[in-house]
Formats: sequence, C-alpha cells, structure tokens
Amino acid sequence: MKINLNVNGSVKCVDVPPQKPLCDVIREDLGLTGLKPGCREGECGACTIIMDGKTVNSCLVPALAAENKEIITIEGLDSFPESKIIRRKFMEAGAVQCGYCIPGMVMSSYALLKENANPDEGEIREGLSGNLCRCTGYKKIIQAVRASAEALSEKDLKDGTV
Amino acid sequence: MKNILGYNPLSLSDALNVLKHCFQNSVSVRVIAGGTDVMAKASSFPDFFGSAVMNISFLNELSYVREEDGKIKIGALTTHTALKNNKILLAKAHILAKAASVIGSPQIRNRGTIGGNIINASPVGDLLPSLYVLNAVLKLQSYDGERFVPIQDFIVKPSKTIIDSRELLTEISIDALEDGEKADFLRSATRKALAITKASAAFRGTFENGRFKNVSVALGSVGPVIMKAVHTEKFIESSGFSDGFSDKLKEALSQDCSPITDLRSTKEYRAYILSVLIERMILSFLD
Repeated sequence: MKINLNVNGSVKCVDVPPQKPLCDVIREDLGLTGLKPGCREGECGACTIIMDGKTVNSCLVPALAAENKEIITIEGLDSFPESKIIRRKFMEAGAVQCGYCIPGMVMSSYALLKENANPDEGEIREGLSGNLCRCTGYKKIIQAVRASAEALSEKDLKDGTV
Repeated sequence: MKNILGYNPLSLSDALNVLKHCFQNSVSVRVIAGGTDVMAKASSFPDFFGSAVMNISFLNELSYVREEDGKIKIGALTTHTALKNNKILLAKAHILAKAASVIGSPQIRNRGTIGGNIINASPVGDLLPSLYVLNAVLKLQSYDGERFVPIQDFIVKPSKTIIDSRELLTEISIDALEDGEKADFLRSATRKALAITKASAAFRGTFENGRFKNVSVALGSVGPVIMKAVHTEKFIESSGFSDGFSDKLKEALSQDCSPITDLRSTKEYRAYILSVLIERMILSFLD
C-alpha cells in the first residue's frame, strides 16, 4: 500500500504492507534509526514518537494509520530549542547509562514540558510512566527533566545561550 | 511481511461500505482503531490480520462525549486520554474517567479507545467494570441498519462479542450518576503504570440513613467476563457494617466470581484483594 508519511517536516511516499508497525517503517524504509523497537507491545516506550502533538508507541501504530499525520522522531526534535536543553540536562545529570531508552525518554520529556512547563516530581513520574529504563533507577532522569523545566523557565532560550 | 489489502476510510459511511464490500466478496477484514491491543497481539502472530485491514482511527466524527436525553453519549473512538480529562465525565461519571486514567501509559492512553477496550472483550479491560455499573448500551451500526445492545449481553466470553462482521461499534450510552450517588473504581496491579490488572471493582449506590440502596457492583479479572456481583450487592444493601462485615463480604464475593491462578496472580490473592478493594470503597463512603 502506498502511504504518504510526514516525518520531521518532510513528506515521503512509502510502499509497505499496511499493517507494518510504524517503528519498522521509520527505521527500515526512511532510515531513521533513533527510535528503538524494544518490546513491540507498547510496554517499554523506547519507540516513542510524537504524532499529531501526542506521544505514541510507534510499534503499536500500523503504517496506514500514520498516513498524512505530523510525525516527529528524535532526529526531528533537534530543530526545537527545548530539546537541546533537555539533552544538555540529561548529560549534566548523568541520566544516561546504556542509552537504549533515552530517545523515548527525551520524546516523553519534551511532550510533558510542552504540556506542563513546571511539573513536580509526581507529574514527571506520571509523564514518563510509559518509558522503562533498566539501568538508572529513574532518579537522575527525573532530576534531568526537573532541571530542564527550570532552565526553560529562565532566560536561556531568549539569550540564545543554548 | 505479507502485503495485504489496506483501507483508510475518512467517514463512517465509507467505513460501513468497506465492510459491506468485504462481506459481499468474502474478504475477512480486521478492523483496527487505536491498535494498542491489536498490534501487540499481531507482533506475536504474523498472519493475525488475515487478508485485509481497515484503520478507523481517522473517523473523527466518532470522538466525542455529550449529554443527550439524560444519558451520556460517548463516541467509540474517544481515546482514554480524552475520557480521563473530560469535564462531563469528571462531573457525572467520574468512575469511567478514573478507570481510563489507570490504563497503560500516556502513550497507550493517547491511542487506545473506549470502543477498542470493549471489542477486545478482555476480562481485564479496565473500562469495563465502570461501564457495567453505568448500564452501558452499545450502538452497533452496519450499512443497512443499527441495533442497541446492553454491554453484558454483548461480551459473551474472553475476546468474544456478538458483533457481526458487517457492524461497527459506534457509540456507547451510559447513565449520568445522580447527585449524592456514591461511586468508585479501584484496581490492584503490580505497578501504577504499564501493569495489567489482577482484580478490579466498580461500585455504585445510594447511602441513606446508614444503609446502602440500589447497589451495583461489577468485578474485573476474577472470571471469564466482567462479573456482576449480585450476592455482594444484596449483602451490602442489608448489612449494618458491624463486626464480621469483612468475612461476610468475602463470603458473598465468593458466590459472585471465579478467580483463577495465572502468571499475574493467584486465585487466593485475587479473592482476598477484591474484598479489600470493595471494603476500602465502602469505608470511604461511610466517612
């Protein structure tokens, strides 16, 4: 089935089985390998992308349901200044160990901060509850998101110091 | 991966016509809404979709919550995120919004739909106990008609409903809770998120002069389908909440459900935690 995909602002037509999981289409047919298919059943969140403004598990979206949707992957997030702050704060907090969950963690963190600029710890835990990390114990990830929120509320963006 | 037929209808009438076409040409078509259950199953079974798939997630006309004729009408493609935040539900059917809020994770709730939760017909479906006590009636539409079926007549066994291959579930109609009516939904699971329920219960009733009346209780994950707890309802209506209440509640519940031991829990723990959940709800209403 021919499907038009709008990924990170560029539209491409792919010819794939309609039921093919979107995570595989993005990795194999578009060559964007940032998202990770971890469990393929919506449990781990490593394949999280943003579709029409909302986080989704791309392993649970069949290719045909992505037709003409506005999709942002971890590669496309780079063009948003917020994501640079999130990336820096993840590094500063030491929130990354093996790194497999991190593309998904960053997508969920970005979506959370878009919706709630000043989340408390409980709200961060809830916002990241669809992303599993087997290394860090989550504490440093939560600190990184909190630090991102603080940095974003300060002048970093306006001053262009990001 | 096998290349199969794909349909992406943009309106309900187009979707119903696809089903008509497939029926007349003997094509078996798998309907997919949010996909959160279907795609997870399909990942383990390569031929799960058969020869055709129809995505109905573009039918925006089936995503709504509105009040009509004293009932609350919910479009079948309303997501769990939309249910959880909906003002009408939070005011008049909060047990359904609460149930939606515990499903899966933010990512799952952004895709999963109320219609999918019903059609999936899992005894563990978290929206189902609340829908049973809110007397949900389902609207099934096909290209040449429609019918209305109470939810308890619709789900017949695990993963099995009476829907016809020509029909789509389009709308769910539920009671609005009356002022002063007590209601709650509680579940037990290993974690707060991304956890499948071990046992759950929805409760609804009126509390007057120290007694409950019009009690309705539905139990999840302790039988092949959602169990309506008729003995427990009668017991709670006649009870004075004195000594021995817990034991009598357990006894009544044991007549209403048949928990099993599986990878998620044991039948003993399920029976135990179920009575705890119900007692906890009742105590919170007595305060």
